[in-house]
Amino acid sequence: MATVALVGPEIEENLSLRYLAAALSRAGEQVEIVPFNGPEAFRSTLQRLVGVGGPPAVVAISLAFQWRASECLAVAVALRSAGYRGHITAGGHFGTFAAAELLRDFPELDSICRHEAEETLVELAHAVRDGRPLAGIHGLALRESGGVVLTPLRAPPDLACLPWPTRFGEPVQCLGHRIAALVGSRGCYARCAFCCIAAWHEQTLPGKRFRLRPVDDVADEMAFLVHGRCIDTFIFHDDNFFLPSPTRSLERIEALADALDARGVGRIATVVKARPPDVTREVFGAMQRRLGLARVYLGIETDAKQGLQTLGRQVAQEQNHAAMGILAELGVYACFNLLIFDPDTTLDSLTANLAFMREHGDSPCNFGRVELYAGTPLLERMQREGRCTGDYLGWDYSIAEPRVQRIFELATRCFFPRNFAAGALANRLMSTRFDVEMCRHFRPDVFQSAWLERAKALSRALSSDSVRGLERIIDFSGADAVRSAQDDFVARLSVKLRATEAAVGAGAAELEHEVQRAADSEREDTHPFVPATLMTAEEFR
Amino acid sequence: MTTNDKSESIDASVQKEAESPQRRRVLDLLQRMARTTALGGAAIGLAATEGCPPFAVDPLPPPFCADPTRVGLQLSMSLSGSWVSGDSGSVRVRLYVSSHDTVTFSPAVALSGATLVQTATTTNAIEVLLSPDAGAAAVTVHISVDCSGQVAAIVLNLDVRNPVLNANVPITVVAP
Repeated sequence: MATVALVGPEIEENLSLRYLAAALSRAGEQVEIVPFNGPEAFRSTLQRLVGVGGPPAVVAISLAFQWRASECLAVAVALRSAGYRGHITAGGHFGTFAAAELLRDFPELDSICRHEAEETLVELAHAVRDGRPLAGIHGLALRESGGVVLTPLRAPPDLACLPWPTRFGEPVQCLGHRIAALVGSRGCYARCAFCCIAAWHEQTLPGKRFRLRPVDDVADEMAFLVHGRCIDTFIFHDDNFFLPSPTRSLERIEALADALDARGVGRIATVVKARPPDVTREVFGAMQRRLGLARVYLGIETDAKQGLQTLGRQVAQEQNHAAMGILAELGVYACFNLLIFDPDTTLDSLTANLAFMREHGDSPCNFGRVELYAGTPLLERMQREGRCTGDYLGWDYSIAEPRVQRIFELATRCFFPRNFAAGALANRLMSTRFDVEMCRHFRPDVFQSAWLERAKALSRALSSDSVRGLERIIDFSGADAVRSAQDDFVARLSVKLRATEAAVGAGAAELEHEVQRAADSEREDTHPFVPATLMTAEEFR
Repeated sequence: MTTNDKSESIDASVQKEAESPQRRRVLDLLQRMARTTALGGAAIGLAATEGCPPFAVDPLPPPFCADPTRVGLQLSMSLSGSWVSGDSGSVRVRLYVSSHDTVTFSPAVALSGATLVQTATTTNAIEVLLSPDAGAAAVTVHISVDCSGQVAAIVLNLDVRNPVLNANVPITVVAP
């Protein structure tokens, strides 16, 4: 086993772990990523950590996701129970904000790496190896003298100097096109009240909250991925791909495209995230023409005036609609999520969001409730108002208007399989449409425009059904029904919802199959150079 | 909080004398994960968003209060199911879902691809008898379960194409 083990989800290339792995490797540490994708992997994860080759000197556990924190903490506890005596640290958004509570309740943890940890973790690993004290390392939370000490925060790392994230294994593919995740920036210029990313970056970069990688560095990494790993599809996981000014966004897009041309990067597809105010014809036209935009995840979040205010979106309803209109006009595939429930949701707010879902039914979407994440202004507000229940491992709340709370509870029971379960259809349709768009982008020779219409029709069918179901719940919620009547209502509505899902799901499967079959036929080699084996960045250089 | 040169001590005394409720919950979850079997959460299909397609950027997490994975509820469930004889030579499916947690199953079970014949709930368990529709290849069963006020949905997809009238031959549960 390596000297440092990084434990966390690896459902796709986990960039946060892989950036850390790259920083540790460059600093001379042996590092291994140990995937922990869910409770079912608990025992295998533990076995890998304490198994062959001797245990690592440092185990670093990702606590990025609050909703998975308990599982990850259980790994730390189980490691100690199994006799592990090395250093256990943790980090990530949740770990950073809850550092004091975690060190109080979980003596298995020796430290928490706060905020962006490439430099902190390297110093920690060296200090553990050399037996040096940790108190002088900036960016840590440590247990000391019966309490918890936060060492001084460090400035976030210079993105231009960070090594590229470690790449290993076979990339995931869509229709035979290899996909890589990457980031061209960290943070987001906006400051939504519910977003832990904004809260996180506000602590280390007050007032700015985002940093950009140099264009040439991004282009170099993409060129390596194209030429060294046969990638032609890039999922940008930037919290927001765009800059506050359309002019500056346009300049960066053009500069990146020019830099890719200069490096011999051929036809590529990209996936990005955006806020509605980022969407202009010029910017997204350039994204299509120059960077092969195949999909944008548009952060609508809510189209209710009240919701926009509660969530601190600093976006007007008109901007939501204008953005969707421009993307439709340009033929850009957009998908979105709606947080139709928040602490202040009213019946009018719900109605506004249902109207948005119906109006933009061609675009795949999902809906749910805003959650209270550690470090966010929304959590702070709810705590101030005495409206939170639960604790730091998971905060809960009731919507102020009792009838809307009833609607939320019924909706969650009825829509859980559609929106949140494994293989949830609302998420799957985003993938189905992506298949169609990838075929349209890379294989215009076999692409059929009818597929696009079918993908839109599937989304429309599901969205319309969701809206109808929610309207039935709203009607039912008018009477304060007893529990047995609620159960009966949920069961009856669920039957109808599941039937729609079966029909729409079958249509999606059929469409995916057709597109895959067509894409498999007479596949052209889109890569100018296909190495016998996939390369690491060092080999490529 | 910005970068500075001083360490900061905060009021978070290490709690040695009593186990915090947060720690207790994590230990409970650990016990459930440690005894997970192949039939556990995977078969019952309660796992949340990690099962989303890889290209669903930013899949919505379930509401915290309704997420069965947060307390490992899916890990406490066990399931058995088999074909049984019905009226006039028909075949039916008998399902038995139980939990080693204190839970309450709602008798209002929703089905797609089948007709509900009857349900019976007992302490921490439910038995469902259903009759698949003629020609149905799959049946979806939707069961609500309440665990300490947290209502979660269990969704089972049953493969009903090849009935085997043998109590020792389990019915096939496919991933949702």
